[in-house]
Amino acid sequence: MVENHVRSALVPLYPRLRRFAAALTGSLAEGDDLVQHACERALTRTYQWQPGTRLDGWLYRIIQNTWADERKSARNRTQAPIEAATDTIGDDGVRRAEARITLDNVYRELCNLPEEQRAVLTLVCVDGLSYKEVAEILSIPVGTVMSRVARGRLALADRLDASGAHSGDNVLKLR
Amino acid sequence: MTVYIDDSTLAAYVDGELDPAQLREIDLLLAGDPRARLKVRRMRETTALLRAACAESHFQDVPDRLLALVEKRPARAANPWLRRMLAASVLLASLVGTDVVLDHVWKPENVATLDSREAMLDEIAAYHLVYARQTEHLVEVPAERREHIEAWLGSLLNRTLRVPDLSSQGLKFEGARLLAIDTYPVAQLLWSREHGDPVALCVTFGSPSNRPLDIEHHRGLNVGSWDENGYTYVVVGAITEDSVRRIAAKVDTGTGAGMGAGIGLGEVPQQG
Repeated sequence: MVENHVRSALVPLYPRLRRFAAALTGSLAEGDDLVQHACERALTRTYQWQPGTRLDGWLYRIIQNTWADERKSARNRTQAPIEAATDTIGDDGVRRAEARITLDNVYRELCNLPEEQRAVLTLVCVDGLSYKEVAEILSIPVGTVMSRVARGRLALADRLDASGAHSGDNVLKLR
Repeated sequence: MTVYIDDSTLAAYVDGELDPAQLREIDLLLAGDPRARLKVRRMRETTALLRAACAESHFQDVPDRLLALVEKRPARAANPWLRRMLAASVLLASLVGTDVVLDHVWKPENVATLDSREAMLDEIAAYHLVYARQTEHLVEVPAERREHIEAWLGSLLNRTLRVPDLSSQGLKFEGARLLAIDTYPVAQLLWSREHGDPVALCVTFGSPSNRPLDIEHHRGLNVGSWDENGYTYVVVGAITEDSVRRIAAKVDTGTGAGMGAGIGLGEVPQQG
């Protein structure tokens, strides 16, 4: 049945979901929380997924919507600026004893980009999704995907050029 | 004179989003534009770096809490169909002004150890016996709101849903309700008869494999079920097997087609 299919696919898809969530939040730890919440939500709505369509795309969309809801709640509660999330990667360090992640300079600079560029770059450049698929996941026009990919990629290239060799400071270490 | 190629077009070029004609055009323009060629190279290099930095191997750790979530199964009663259907009050006989004598006593302990499909059909029959006795609230949404029923239940099932016209069978559409079985939506459509118990057609997500109509006898009722195009259909009522077949033949299982087309029994439609 559909629920069983979705449930059994979550673990193999997890690395990609985690990667996307980390790009959205700018933080691996926050990304992990986001994936968990999104998977909980997905399992209560498996009837919304149409067999034969991309399950990863459906899950990305749920992650995106869950993140939007969480940000809205956080904004309502604390009035903190949304942009604070982009600084998280530099201040995060080790958050959990059991999960210590190392990012190289590329990933760190990715996380320093604006959120909308991070999400698009991850889906297009890393996941290899088409512009149309990304537009559907993020609920934005294809033209917006194009411009964000272009700006984001060149901005990342500029940052990498400016940052030079890798820095050992403020990194999350990948095992 | 060098024609300016905007960054979005260059990005689409790098990502393979251009059609062949556009590709040829950009190739020609790039041949005469070293600045644009440099941007293309930077974009490709950055893409390669991103893929390396964001390889799935860096995100492999699956946390215990996700494993627990995936392995967790909702608590299930022995008869999930019965549990769900009993949550709704379906009342029939009084609406048609006919006393219905039901001579079968429903006893949940009568359910033998059957495979899951047989158990499901038995539970449908057992519940039908219960709601057939009701005198009010046969349906949740009345037939007067047919378009709403079709849109509402169709959206939950990710398909076009049309109420079959069973008037030729002497059946009058009374309305519908939504049931939930293990978080799955079940569209239940109900028809009344001048003489006899109401008849129900249930539609829900089913097996990806098609399965022809099969009629079983459960608790004094005929229960006909089949699977098609990823959906399970069940016709239930105190009706003859021929009536079950005629009703099933009127059900259009096309997920995008309108009503009335129907399919012949025994046909195996192309699976989508």
